[in-house]
Amino acid sequence: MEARLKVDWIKCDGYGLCGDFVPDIIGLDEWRYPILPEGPLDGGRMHEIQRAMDCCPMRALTLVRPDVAAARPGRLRRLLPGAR
Amino acid sequence: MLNTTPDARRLLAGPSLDGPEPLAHHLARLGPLPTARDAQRTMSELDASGLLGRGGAGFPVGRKWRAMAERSRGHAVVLANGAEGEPASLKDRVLMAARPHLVIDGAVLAADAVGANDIVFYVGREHEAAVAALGVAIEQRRPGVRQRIRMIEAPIGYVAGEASGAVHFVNAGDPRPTTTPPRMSERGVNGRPTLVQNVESLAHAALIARFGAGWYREAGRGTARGTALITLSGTGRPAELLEIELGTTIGEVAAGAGASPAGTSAVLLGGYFGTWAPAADVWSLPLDPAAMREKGLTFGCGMVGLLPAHACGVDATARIMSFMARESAGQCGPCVFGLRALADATRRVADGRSKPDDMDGIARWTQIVAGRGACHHPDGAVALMASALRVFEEDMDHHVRSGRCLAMSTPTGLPAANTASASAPTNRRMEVA
Repeated sequence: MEARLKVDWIKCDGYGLCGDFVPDIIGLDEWRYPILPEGPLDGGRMHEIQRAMDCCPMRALTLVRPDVAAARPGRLRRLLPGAR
Repeated sequence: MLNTTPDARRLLAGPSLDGPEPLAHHLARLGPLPTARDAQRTMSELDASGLLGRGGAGFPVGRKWRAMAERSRGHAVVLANGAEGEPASLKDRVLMAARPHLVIDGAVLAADAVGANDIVFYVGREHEAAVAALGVAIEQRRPGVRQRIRMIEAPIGYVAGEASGAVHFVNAGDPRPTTTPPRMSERGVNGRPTLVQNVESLAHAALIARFGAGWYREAGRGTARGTALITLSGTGRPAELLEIELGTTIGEVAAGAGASPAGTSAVLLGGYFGTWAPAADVWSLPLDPAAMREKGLTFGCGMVGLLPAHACGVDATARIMSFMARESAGQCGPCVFGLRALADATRRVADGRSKPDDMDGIARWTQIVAGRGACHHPDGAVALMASALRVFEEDMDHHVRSGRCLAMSTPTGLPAANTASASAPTNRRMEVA
């Protein structure tokens, strides 16, 4: 199950803590906004990646899994508790 | 001339474009609009016509309507997009001002076809003639039609016309684009599935529904079919609106306005979201979305901007990049900071006062900004920059090394980079087969 990272660019405020935490996975530009890896993430490092996501004060990073992304969004939202 | 035989039924056919065509003239000239009962046939004709959306993305219109019809369950909304924040384009504002009933026809057809009760006309507030003409035209429709339609004036701004920005403004008075998903086709105006369609696409649909795909496809050169509105600028005359047969070459259009290949160094295609190309490479290129895509170019909003040989492409690019940076909605960091840095560095290069690392910076930002925003504004801007780096490579190099321009720097003839610059266009009509 290959996962990818996704940034909500409207939420992201360029704190850059994600890139500080896993610099070899998440790059930072000169304004400290993340540059995400092109390919799928290394499954063996998901723990670190999760912690990098948790560092984000804006909660701007999410994991996208292909099987979830392929599900119909409308149906998925209805199934998630608390979703509108 | 591009004309073959005149046809009174194309977009810009009929009376003068100086004022709105009254409803009675419109009906006498084109006949009644097919009804909701004909919706299936309308969509079949749209599919067969091959009509592509004219807002810039070029998605097949028939397929878009069908997909919406399948998901709407009668609860959809049609948003007729006439924001036209692109300063290099005239087509939508003139079409709405001169042929308001044709655009309304298209929106009504779309609503009937996709299962929408409500129609929102989203019209750039700076396009005053369009707002006035549509306001009058909506009131002239019978109650059952006019009660379905409301008009909302779009705020001035480039990204306000982006689909999610338009829906955001209609819903919440805020024209900034939103994060997708959800797509507007899933959850748009009032949370309902929303068909966002450019007004030129709607006007074409209104003709195709009446006269059929076969009629639409009678026009066109080579393998390209149908007609399109384009805006031609940089000819030394004010920007002009033309209706061309798709497949007409860039050279034919330019020569029709008195431009020559020798007097033109480059062409900006598709608008400020578009691409620069060397004039010699594209002079015989057909204006046809498929042929252009093959060359890595875009038809986009139909802009053909000629850069005269005596004008500086680096300066023209710096102006456009400055516009694009200013027009960022200001939400996403890579767009806010990246486009500003690109615009500033390009300006320094154009003025012959570049810093040692400016060219490296331009190359890097052009690479890293794309794909890093909620909407595609930064992607379009850096695509234009990337094309400038290819087309004006030698000239940029010259600016950096000698501080001077290869061409004599004169005003480019491209529209001044501010959104309120819609100076009175000269509208030239063109009859097509």
